Amino acid sequence: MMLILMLIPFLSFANIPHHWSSAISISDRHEFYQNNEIISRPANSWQILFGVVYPDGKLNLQKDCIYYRVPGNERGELKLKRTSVEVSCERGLEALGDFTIKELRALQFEITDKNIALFLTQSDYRVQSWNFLRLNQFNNREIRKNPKVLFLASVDPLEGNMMLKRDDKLCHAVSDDCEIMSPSTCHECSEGWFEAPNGCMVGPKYCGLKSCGGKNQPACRRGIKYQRKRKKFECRTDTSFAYCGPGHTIQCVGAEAWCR
Amino acid sequence: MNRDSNTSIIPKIILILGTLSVLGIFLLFFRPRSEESPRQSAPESPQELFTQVIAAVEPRILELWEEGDTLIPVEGVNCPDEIANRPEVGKSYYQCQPHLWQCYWQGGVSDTPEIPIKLFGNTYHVMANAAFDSIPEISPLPRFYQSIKRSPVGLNLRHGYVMELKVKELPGFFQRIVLSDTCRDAYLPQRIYGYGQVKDRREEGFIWDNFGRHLFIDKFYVSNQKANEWFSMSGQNSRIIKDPVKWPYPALLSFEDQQKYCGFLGKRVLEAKLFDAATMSPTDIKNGLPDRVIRPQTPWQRDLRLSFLGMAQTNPEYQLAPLDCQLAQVEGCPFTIYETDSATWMGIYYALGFFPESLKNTIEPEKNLKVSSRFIPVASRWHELGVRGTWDGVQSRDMPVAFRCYEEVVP
Repeated sequence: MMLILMLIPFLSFANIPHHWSSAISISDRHEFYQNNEIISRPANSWQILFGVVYPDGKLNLQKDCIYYRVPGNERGELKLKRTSVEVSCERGLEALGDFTIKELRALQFEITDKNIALFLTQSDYRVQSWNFLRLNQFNNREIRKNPKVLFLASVDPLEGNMMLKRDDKLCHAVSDDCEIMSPSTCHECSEGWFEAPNGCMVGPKYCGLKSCGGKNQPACRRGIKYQRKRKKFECRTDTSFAYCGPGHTIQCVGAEAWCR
Repeated sequence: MNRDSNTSIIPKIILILGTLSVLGIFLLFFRPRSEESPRQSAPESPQELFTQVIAAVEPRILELWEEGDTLIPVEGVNCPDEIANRPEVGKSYYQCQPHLWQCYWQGGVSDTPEIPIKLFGNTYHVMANAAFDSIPEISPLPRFYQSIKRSPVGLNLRHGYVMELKVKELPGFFQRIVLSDTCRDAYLPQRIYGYGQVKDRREEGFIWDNFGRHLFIDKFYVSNQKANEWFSMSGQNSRIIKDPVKWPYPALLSFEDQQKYCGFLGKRVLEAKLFDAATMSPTDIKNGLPDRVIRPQTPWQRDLRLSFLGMAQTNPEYQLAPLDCQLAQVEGCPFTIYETDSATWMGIYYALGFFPESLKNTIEPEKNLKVSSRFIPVASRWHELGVRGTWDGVQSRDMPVAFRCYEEVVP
């Protein structure tokens, strides 16, 4: 018994998620809780505080979801659950955690670009603080937003590899009215991507390394400014924004220009 | 008399001691303090301390990776399996070069391969681990890096090198990092460009623009070292070129393999119209929408006749000068590779001369080869921008064809 009691501090130390230092982003963050706020409402309920996304040793992205049962009739409880990055933290709200700390009087957290910190006030009023320096610093001013040095987390890699997007799957949806429907996910394509020009500054893109200008290939993009006219380009009226190779002509598929 | 003089000294001593004490207290308060505030004391947890040391060493690691060429001594490095120390190879080859990384940590650059970091009043020594399997075709020694090709969801990282760092004073901890090739490509500014040549200077010819597109073009030809990585990552180890002397030289692949290589990295073989855009210097770099798009005949001189190439065409006795060979390596020039004197306006190399270069051409598909090269006499008409020949896509001994890739990034 004595041995177990002596080991408790070491066991809890071993559970401190030091791999959060390799976080590349924060997801599922609670929309109301502010940095350093003592979380007291709604009492007796489980809340998602935030998720920490980090690359593992195989460069797959993993996520730790951090839940807190707000103190009320009983003391508070912290729960951590590891999951794949595509899974929302919502799904683990009711599930058992990989690691829990019970009997908490209070909890505060702080997330900045440089640090992730948790302050846990235990039943004897001792405050256990976890403070993780974020090693992965992203330069959002650059077109390639990856950090020059990517720090990987020392955790067991997830079984299997993430599925990359297959060929011909839409990875950047742009409407015929040039509205970008969702951010590009073309970097998830297994072998690059191609664009089907539609007369917009940014055209719809699909996974795959299809060339342009040949038979049954998308037309090659030529641009919408070299004409030096301020106007909207529509495939059926003006195809100068694209071109096909010799022997092929542009055929409009919706607003997209393809070569036949 | 003597007694009087003795008693009069005591107050003086007290006065001097008092003054010294006040001065000492004054100096104690106003002494220059070290930059470290109490908040910056070393963390108690060794894991946290390790993280702090790793964060502090990041700029030094990047320096070693991106500017490793500056560490190479005049006599060269001592890693015959990794670096051949050839005089024809320029220093750019050694930037973002995994073989130099291997050589450095093997002890081929200095006897004590470690990076000292001063932190919290102590000096820590960061080192790399030989944590990865050897590549038997290259060396029997375990590797200090591993090439990876991956595009994890959420990260726009297609290719890089995994390395493992440790701190000598903090055993038991290690940190894996990924470094990518941040030294190899150049951004094509967004503007109007012209393709090929025009018969009449008043003609506009084929013009196009890349507004809204983020295009990065390889600065150098794809080397055998790069092709070796592709062979290794794609299970084609039998194709690995084993001689380190040949690693910096251009990879001579069929057009089909060139497309496979670039595609493996999410890139494409360079297009002819992009090559022209990257090599034909605009008249006004600040104006991306000029009224006229000109077609310079060389990267350095709009009019070929005013360049050494034009002079050689009119003067059969023309003698090549060293500067000529730096701008365009033509027949008769000494062979060099990875030198940076032939830079174009946007930062790629080898616009004219050097090796014949394979180009995908979507406008005139049969014009898919930059013929100008080190195998062609200086007076040849092939040495001009926008002039292209035809290549059947198969390598031959008479005409080795190099290639490079480009990448379009969607932010």
